[in-house]
Amino acid sequence: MTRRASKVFLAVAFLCACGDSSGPSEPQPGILTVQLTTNATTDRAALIQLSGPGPISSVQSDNAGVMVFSTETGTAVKTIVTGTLTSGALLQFNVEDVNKVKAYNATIVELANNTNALQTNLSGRSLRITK
Amino acid sequence: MQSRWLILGAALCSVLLPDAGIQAQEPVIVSGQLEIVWGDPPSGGDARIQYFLRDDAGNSRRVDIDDTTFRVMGGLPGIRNQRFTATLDPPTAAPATASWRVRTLSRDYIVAPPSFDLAQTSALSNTMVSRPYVTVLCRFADAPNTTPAPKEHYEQLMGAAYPGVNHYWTEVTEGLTDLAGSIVVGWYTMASPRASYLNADSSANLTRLQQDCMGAADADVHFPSYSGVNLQFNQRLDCCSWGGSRTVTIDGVTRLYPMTWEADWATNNAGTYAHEVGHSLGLPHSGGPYGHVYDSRFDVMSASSWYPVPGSVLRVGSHTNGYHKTLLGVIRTEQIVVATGAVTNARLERSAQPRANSNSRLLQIPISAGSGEYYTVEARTRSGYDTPLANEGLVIHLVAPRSTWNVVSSVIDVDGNRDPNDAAASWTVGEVFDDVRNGISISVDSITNLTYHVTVRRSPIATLGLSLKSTTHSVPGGSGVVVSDSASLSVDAAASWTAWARARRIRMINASGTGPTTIRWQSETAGLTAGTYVDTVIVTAPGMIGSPARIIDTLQVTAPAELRVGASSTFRVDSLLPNRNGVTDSVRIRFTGPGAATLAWTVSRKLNGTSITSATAGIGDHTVRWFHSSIGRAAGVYVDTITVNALGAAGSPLLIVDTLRVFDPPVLTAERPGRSYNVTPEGGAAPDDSIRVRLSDRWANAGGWAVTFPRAPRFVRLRSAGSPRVGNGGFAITRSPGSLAPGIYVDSIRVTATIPGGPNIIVTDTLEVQPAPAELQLSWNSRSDSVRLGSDRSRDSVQVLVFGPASGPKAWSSTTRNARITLFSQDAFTAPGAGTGTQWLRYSRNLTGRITGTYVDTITITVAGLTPQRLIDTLRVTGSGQSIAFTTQALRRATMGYNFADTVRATSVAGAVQLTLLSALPAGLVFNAATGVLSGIPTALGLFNLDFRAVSASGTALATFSLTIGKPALAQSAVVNHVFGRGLLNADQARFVDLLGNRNGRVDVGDLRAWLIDAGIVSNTRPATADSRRKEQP
Repeated sequence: MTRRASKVFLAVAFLCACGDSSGPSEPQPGILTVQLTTNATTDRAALIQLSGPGPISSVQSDNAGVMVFSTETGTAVKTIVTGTLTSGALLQFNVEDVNKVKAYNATIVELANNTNALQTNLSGRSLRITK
Repeated sequence: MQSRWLILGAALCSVLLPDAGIQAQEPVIVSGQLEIVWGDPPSGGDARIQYFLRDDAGNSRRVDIDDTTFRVMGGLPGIRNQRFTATLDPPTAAPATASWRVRTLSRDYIVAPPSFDLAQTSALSNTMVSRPYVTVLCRFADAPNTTPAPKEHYEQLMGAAYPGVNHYWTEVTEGLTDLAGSIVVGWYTMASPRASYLNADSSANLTRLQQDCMGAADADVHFPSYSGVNLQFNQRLDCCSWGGSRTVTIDGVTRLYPMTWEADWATNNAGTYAHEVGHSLGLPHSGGPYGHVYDSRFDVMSASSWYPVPGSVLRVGSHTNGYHKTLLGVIRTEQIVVATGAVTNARLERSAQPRANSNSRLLQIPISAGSGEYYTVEARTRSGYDTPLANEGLVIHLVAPRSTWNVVSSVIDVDGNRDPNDAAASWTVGEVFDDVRNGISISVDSITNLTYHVTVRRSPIATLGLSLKSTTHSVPGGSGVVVSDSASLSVDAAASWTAWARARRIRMINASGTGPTTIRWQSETAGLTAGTYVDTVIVTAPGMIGSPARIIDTLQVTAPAELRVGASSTFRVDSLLPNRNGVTDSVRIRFTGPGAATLAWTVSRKLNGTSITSATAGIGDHTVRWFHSSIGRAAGVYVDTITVNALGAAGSPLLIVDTLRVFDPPVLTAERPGRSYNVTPEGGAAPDDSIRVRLSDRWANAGGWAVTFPRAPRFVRLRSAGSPRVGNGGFAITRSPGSLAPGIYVDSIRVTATIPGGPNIIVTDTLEVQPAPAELQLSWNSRSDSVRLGSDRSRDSVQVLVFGPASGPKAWSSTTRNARITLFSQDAFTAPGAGTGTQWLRYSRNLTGRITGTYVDTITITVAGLTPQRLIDTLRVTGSGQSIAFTTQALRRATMGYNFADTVRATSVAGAVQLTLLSALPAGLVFNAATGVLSGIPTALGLFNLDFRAVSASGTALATFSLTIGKPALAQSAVVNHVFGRGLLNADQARFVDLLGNRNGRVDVGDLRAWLIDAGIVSNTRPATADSRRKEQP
């Protein structure tokens, strides 16, 4: 096969691969999990902002030692967690399409330690959303 | 025999009635076929005409048609062989008339031409057809012996030998037809004298003449066997001999007979016979240009018997002209050259006895399409019956078929000498006829072998033309539409024109102008009832040929159709929740009345929320379908109108009033009388509770709802089943912690509105199971006593209660902060104020050294691991004659973070009192010694005993006041929502929460945590066990 012929073959193969006749995938409702990564040991409460392309509902704790306060459903939801905040699963919430997990975002707005003092330096903590 | 009686009856009627046949006084409306008979006097004079309208019942009325009506109907071509409906006024006695006057005349439809019409039969068959005539010789009753000539004379006159009538028409029709088989019968004497055959106006009663003469011969003649009938009388009739056609019922047959009525003077005039037979075949007159009928020798239908046949008593005329030959079909279309171009060349064969060649027979030169006038050019050379002509050459006739019943074609004679038979009427080689007005010139180029070479030139002339001659519109009555129409006007570019209409209902859009254009006008139909309205649009351009031009505008107003709705109502109502599409609704529309099946309609709606699903335009009955949508619509009532428009229909526009009510979805709320957060010791119980469910608005009584658990509950149980419920109500729950381990448990209860898409809410219930602790309580929390100054003893006691599942025998101790109290042990007033388990603590108030005043002390009882309990003890020392004393009994309760102010007061008989605070103040408070005001915002919680001293000139007094700085009662949701930024706390409350937390000047998540711990909602330490999924709804 010549060099030119192989290019043509690859192009055809690519086009064929794109030609999925089933169309876009159907929305898959389900639960997403907020994972906390932290190197701190004294974090006890946090105000977390959740946002995404679709409604977020039924925010719950995914950590036995954490209590959750949440606002109503919507595309932007504020949540308060209190307890000993350690690395691992922290929250769960329902979405209409878990396939859009990459479009959802979790941000720490406020963080307090075991003396209730606000932490201005949030380095060492991060949130990640997984299916 | 039966026919005899019919004839007799008809004859009897004719005796009683004038020629009209029927006598009446009132106008009548008659439909039937028009029959025409021409009358010709013996020597010049004016021609006559009689019209007969024969109705469908066989009644024949002589009618008068005036010249205007004649022209309006289109002249002879417009009335010949036509069927009409006429309104007739009866004949009058004074002045005596014999005719019914035509008041209105309208053409019904074109009937088949009679069988004698050569123009039709020859064109169809192109074969020779014999048309035998029976000539009946009749005498009047008062002249039975008068016989103009014997029967044999008339047989010669009608014979096939020259100059017989049969011979004549055989030559003129070039063999298309002859009169072979003709016979002569008579003489018969009729029943009545001559005078009885005259009408009141002295005109011949042609009907009676025909009836009596044919009746007289009926025994000898089977009339239906003959094509035509000649009636020869032995005296004068009136002015004339007559020729035309009449419908006769005889010998059991009713049919139209070509017929002539010959006066005695026609006996030797074979030309008169030929002339009248020509009328019986439908030919009109021709003549010269001078207004005379019988002056042209170029046509037997003008001068008919001008040539005495040598050696005979008979006189004949020449051929009939080319125009008449076209009517008879003798000259066929393909033998005619029509000169419409700028230059037309033609070769013309002679008219009489034409030779077999390819020459044309006739040249036609149109003059005006509007009037229908044209020139004919024919070659008249001496041959056959044209032999006697004085001049040979081309003869030009001006043909005006629509203008008169009389001289339809007239010879062009340019010298004006009143002789249309001289050389000026015969055009030979080198001569040119110029019609300057119409831009036509006819030149005779040459004559070769008797063939005339002719050139016709047409120059552009100023003409006015319209693209329309008539137009008809039909509109439904009551529609009130304005009908617009237009016609193209062709006229010279510089020509000014004016357009106007004779009726007010026509309005010219452009009534005048210059040059070619489109003339537009409108007809108003408002108020017109059903019927036919004929108007005329007239366009004039001075100096233009064809001016004025007319357009007949006919407006037919039909009875209006009616638009109705079928069985369904035009008022429709639907209800929807928001963001829904409703079901399809429909209304059947029906049309009744004339034109209903083809009546066009359209359907429209006003609001976007209504979707028409059926066709929005169509014809005839229809079902209009639509549905509603509440998508994007707020709650409310929307009234739409679906309009069905059917132009011209009564009841149009039809309005379908369509009401849509869009409801708000229910708002579901749940209220709980008890707490949603309960604390119970391990193994303890929690109170039952109930939850009220409220539905908003209309749903309060009708909305359904159900209670479910999103996940298996840990401690909540429903006390009442019966879901789903309807309307406002509630449900009861029990809390059954059972053997739950210590921890915080949150159960969720879902309340769902059971309408489609209805909302749901989650009610959470939290139960904290605490490790069952021992508990320390006092039998009361405060004690007081009042003693007079100088008393020696004041004692009191309080029961220390220590109990609980994990209590066990626990030791307690008690302390006091100063020496004014002496604590004793157990049930005795003995030191050291300690015990084990539930026991009494007794104490003594030391009175030594005390002055008048109020003394507040605190006794604190402590058990390891349990919350200390405090007993507030107040001693008031009073004394008679006291000169200074505190009037303040107690201080108000203060709240941390809240503004506080109170005043300590003392009085003295000696006047001014100086106050002094002897103790340290709680943080945030200040004391003003001059005013005694204690104020500020306390920033710490607790119970503080404040010692004051009052000094006056009369003495000193001491007092201790307890100041309690407590906490406000805040709802958890208020604190949490404040952190979420919803700001539900006021300034004092927010300050308290912040003071409780990190004191940074605002309420944040750290403050919330502090408040939750302080409120006992969360622990400051990680619980040993807990529900894996906990959630708190603010």
